Amino acid sequence: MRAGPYFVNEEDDPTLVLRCREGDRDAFERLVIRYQKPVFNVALRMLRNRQDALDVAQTTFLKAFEHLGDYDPAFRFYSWLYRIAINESLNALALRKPRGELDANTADDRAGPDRAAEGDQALQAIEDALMRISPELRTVTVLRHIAQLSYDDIAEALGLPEKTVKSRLHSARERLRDHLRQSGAI
Amino acid sequence: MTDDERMALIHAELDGDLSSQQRADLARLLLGDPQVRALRDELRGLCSRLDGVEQVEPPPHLKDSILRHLSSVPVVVGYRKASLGRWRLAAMVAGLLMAGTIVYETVQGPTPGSRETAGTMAADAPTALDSVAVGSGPVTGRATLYRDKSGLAVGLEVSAAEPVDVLIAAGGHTFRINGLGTPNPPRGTRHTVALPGVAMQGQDIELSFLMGERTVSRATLHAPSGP
Repeated sequence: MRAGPYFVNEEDDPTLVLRCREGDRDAFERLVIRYQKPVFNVALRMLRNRQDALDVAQTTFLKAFEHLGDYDPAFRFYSWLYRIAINESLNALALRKPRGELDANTADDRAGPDRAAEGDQALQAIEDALMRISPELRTVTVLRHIAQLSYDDIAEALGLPEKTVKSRLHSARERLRDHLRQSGAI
Repeated sequence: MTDDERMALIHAELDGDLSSQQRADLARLLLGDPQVRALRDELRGLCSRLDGVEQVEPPPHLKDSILRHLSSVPVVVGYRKASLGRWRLAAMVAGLLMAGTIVYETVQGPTPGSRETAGTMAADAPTALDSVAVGSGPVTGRATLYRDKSGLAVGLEVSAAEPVDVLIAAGGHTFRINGLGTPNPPRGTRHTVALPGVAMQGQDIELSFLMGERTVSRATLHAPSGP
């Protein structure tokens, strides 16, 4: 148990990105360590497939590294990173479509995240419902409730007005509630 | 009131956006209409379940795989001309922030005058600008925004069953305090975090309370516009 509060003065994102741009790969490793978990989880809940989420997470970081010169420091680095992750997830979903529609019946559950271990029906119901709403609505839901971003962050990540983000999230909640009702989960 | 208006009120409550008038309207609605109450409970339950979805740990090989592939990624050396100025500004701000960050803890005892302070704000009597209760989830207490001649600071009086980390996002900066909170802190125990470089520009200051890197509660303080 920790004795008391301690204060962390970690290098902030702009400093690390600047160091990356100067060729410091250790700085990029720090960014990977900082953001690999949230990026992976966003992809996982967007795609509901562990392997696809790993692929998206990897591509996200590699694209970020490749395009660091395009990153505008007027924006938050993580918003930019989430934007890449969401775009990559949407691309992965689009590639999946020929295999079947993205609903609970066809959503790839080879790796519904650690399904067997979790054995959690409530989680499964939520995941099912998430896969039944449109990717557009799922995106705002995942960024808000899984990544825990503020509306401002989501608006920045998606390049949308905050009002639109809220409107989409409200629609998403109502659709999710409808699906949970239909499935008897609530 | 139309269905859409009722729904808007419920969502506004979920988003923490209710004005006092809207709060009163919603309270009346909830008292008078069991259907609205049921709807609101369902949506609150849904949000709670979504917020409770567990974060999955990525496998250790993800980071290694990313780093291994970096060498094959073409990187354009140098910055876009358009962002050079911003980069320099960002670097300067980051440097100033690192150099000037003063984070200190103030422990205020139960009786007046018995406080022990550290940091540059100790000598000034701070003025409270905003204060909110932190009352949801496993963290309870109060967050207060102060100002004195050294600048802005956030005071935290929190109680939690286990150590809680606090992220404070303000004016493009993020401050982090780790390991706050005990189940029964001595009355008046307050931790104060200075916010160097954060000006009063009528902006919101977002506080996120984390346990095991998971957000368990949020609060927003408002810094009014001022000199």
